[in-house]
Amino acid sequence: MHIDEHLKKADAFEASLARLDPLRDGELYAVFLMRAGTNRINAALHVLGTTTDGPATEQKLGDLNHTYKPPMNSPAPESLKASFTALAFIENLRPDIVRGPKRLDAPAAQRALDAYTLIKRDTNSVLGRKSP
Amino acid sequence: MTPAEHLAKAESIMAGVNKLAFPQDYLAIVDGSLVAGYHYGNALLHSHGVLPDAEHVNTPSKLGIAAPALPPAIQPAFAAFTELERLRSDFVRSPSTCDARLEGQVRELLNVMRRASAR
Repeated sequence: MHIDEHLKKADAFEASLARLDPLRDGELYAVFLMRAGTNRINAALHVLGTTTDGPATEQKLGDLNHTYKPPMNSPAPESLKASFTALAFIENLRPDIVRGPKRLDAPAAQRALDAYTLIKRDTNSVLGRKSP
Repeated sequence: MTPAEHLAKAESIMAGVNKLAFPQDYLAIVDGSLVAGYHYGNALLHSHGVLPDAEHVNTPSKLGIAAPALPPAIQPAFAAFTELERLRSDFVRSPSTCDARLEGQVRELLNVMRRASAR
C-alpha cells in the first residue's frame, strides 16, 4: 500500500483507540495499537526503500503483516530497530490477552502505549512528520 | 480455553466493538469483529468436537479442514468466519474506503456466528 494509505489507516485506528477503555477493552486495545504501529512501520519502510509500496517482488518485500511475517531477508533498518522491538512487544500480547483468557492489566496497557508512542516517534522521524 | 470461556471473551470484545461506529471506525469494526469471530469460531470447534479445548485456529484459512468436512451445524458459522477474514484482507490490509453495505454485512456475519455458538 502507498505511504499515505498506511498513514490514513494508522490515524483511523488511533482515533478508534481513543473510544475504548484500555483495560475493559484490552483485546481490541492491543490489536488496534498493533495495526496502527504496523501501518506506521510499513510507511517508514517504504520511505527508506527497504520494502516496496507496490506488489512484492523477488528483490523486495511488500507490506509486512507483522514484524515476523513475511520474514525480512535483512535486518531492520537501524532507525527502525527500536520500533520493531516495540511492535513485537505489542504483538506478543495476543496469545494471552487477545486469543487467551487473560485480561490486559494497567502496567501492560501502559507498556503497550509506551511502545506505540516510541513507534510513532521513530516512524515520524523517518517520515519527516512532526511528533506531537 | 473452553467454549464458555471463548463465548465470554467474544461478548466482552463485542462490547468494545459496539462502542465504535460506522463509517469513521469501519477499519476497527472489521478488525475487531474478526477477533470476536475467532472466539465464536473456536467455541464452535470445541463444542462440536473438531478441536480439543487446548487447540485453536487463528483464522478459518488456517484450519486445514475443508468447509464440507466440518459438522453441518457449524458450516454456516464458518462461512461467516471466512467472510470476516476476507473483509479484513480487503479493507484492513488493502487500500479501502468504507462501503455503504459494510455495516449490515458485518452485523449479519457476526449474528450468524453468535447464534450458532449460543445453541
